[in-house]
Amino acid sequence: MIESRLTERLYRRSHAERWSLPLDALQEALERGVARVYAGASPSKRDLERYLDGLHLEDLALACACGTGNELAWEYFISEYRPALYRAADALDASGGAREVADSLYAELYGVRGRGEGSQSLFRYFHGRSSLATWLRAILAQRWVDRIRLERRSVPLEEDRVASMPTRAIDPDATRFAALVRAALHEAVRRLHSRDRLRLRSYYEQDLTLAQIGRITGEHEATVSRHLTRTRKILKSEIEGHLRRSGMTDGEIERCLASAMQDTGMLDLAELFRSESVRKNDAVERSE
Amino acid sequence: MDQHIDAESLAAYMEGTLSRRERAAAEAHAADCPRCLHLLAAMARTEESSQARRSAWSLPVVRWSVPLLAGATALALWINVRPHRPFESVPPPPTSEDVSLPAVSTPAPEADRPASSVEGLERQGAKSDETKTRADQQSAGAAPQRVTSADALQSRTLPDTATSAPAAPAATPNAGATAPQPLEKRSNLRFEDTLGETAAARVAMPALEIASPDSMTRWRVEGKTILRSTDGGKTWNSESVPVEREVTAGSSPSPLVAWLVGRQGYILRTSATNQWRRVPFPEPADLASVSARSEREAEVTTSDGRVFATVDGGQTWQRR
Repeated sequence: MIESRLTERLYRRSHAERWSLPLDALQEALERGVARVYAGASPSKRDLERYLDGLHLEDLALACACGTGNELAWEYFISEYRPALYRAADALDASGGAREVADSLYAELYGVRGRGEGSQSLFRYFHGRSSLATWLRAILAQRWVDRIRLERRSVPLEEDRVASMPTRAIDPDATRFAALVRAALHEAVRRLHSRDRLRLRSYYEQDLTLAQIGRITGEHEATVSRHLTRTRKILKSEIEGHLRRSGMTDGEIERCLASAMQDTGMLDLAELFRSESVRKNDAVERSE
Repeated sequence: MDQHIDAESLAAYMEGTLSRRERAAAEAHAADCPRCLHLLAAMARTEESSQARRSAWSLPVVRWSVPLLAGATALALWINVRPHRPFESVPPPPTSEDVSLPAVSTPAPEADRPASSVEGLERQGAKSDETKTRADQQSAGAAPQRVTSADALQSRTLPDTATSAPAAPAATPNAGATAPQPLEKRSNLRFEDTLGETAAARVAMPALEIASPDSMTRWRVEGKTILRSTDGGKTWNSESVPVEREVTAGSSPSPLVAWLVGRQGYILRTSATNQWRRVPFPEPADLASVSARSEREAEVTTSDGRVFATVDGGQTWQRR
């Protein structure tokens, strides 16, 4: 699929000879990546070249060499990437839980069943579209999130949270008002643009800081803040409209919103999104 | 995108190397998928750890200083070699207090200015109550409040960059409420903040001017107007295209072709007299510089140092 002259050029760029990686091995990795990205379609020569030229070829060569069990490559990989992986793990869980996940990754990277017949190194799934370091962080994040979510499924309902739910109604209509606002909010959130919803959920559900959300959306934190403010205005306006359409007067709407805000426990966004988010213990972290 | 975001796409997403279509699909999926949103959040949380050992070349101040110095050098060269400039009328060199240069443009209206520092300053006062509340909560050892949709419904403004400062240590109760808060984290500082107010005032952002290789054809951006000169800057004619966002840099590979780049992925290109077109860019990143080789080939650098190139006039962009 990839012309041999192009493969040779890419091979030279990748410095694969450093790991004594044969040309065929790199070519196979490149073709796996092409097949995955273009999913059976045949790209034009120009598109193909552009894609291949944009790859992190040195990282791909290292991953290929590690995947084939090259000792020198492994030594280099461990010394260069383990510290970064541990730093990422500590950022996920300072208590060390994520380090265990990071350590367990090495077995997968080396080949689940050990070197030999039938082994499949995780490196096989690295195609060079990102740097190896970012890919490793993504793998770690994936394993960590799946572990957290699995653990959460086996945790019984939070009794303390249920117990702390408000039991007395401040306003006789509070329950009805909360239900109305919840329905209106649900509808309003559903109608948001996906990017607005992504920012909103990242902020309220994932407790990310504005800067962290900016890293996801590729925006400056001031821009994220501006968009969130705008989204909140949209939500408020949509909710008011929804309540008005359901026959409420302005006075009732005002009372309804005041009641909903007073009884915040009834309007948890995470619950609204029906997710199993992990909340940080320290709210102050949000501004870090 | 119906499927979950895989590790490779996730990594490419965070590095900004997905195509626009792939990126939009991933975002749309993550907006409604708890697992993938959680993944993106985990990546965002670990991003700082990956940046902790970046080289000095990737620091914002260095990233900005390169195009800034290049721009200053180009400006100095232009001033020195500009044709038809009588030597006898050269004014004495400006002092550091001389804020306005001959080519200074009319300041853009507040609404058009980037939100980085201006809004941050404006909002600082508005957010101080929230900062105070959070700092007080921490210093008093209060349990963190759960953020609910009621928070989203309230009309007060979100915590902004002004509240992004680390809270006061618990050992000094209420210190966070009174101590001056830094505006933004260092890693998020932008051009104006990096230079500092004084330095920014000295630079005073002259109107952007670029010259084609023949030096007679020039373009100049003043506020929302693009001007063109074909006599080396003696006379200027307004071009019929309104500038929608702040333009930060430009490049002209020939007398008929010019590229202008600016905030939030804003790119304009002309390939014939007075025929400007908006060029799409895959993400709303602030663009710091552009180097064009023709009407089809150009390379732009984002404010965070990433380089994107196009060979088809901006229809597609490839990260370098």
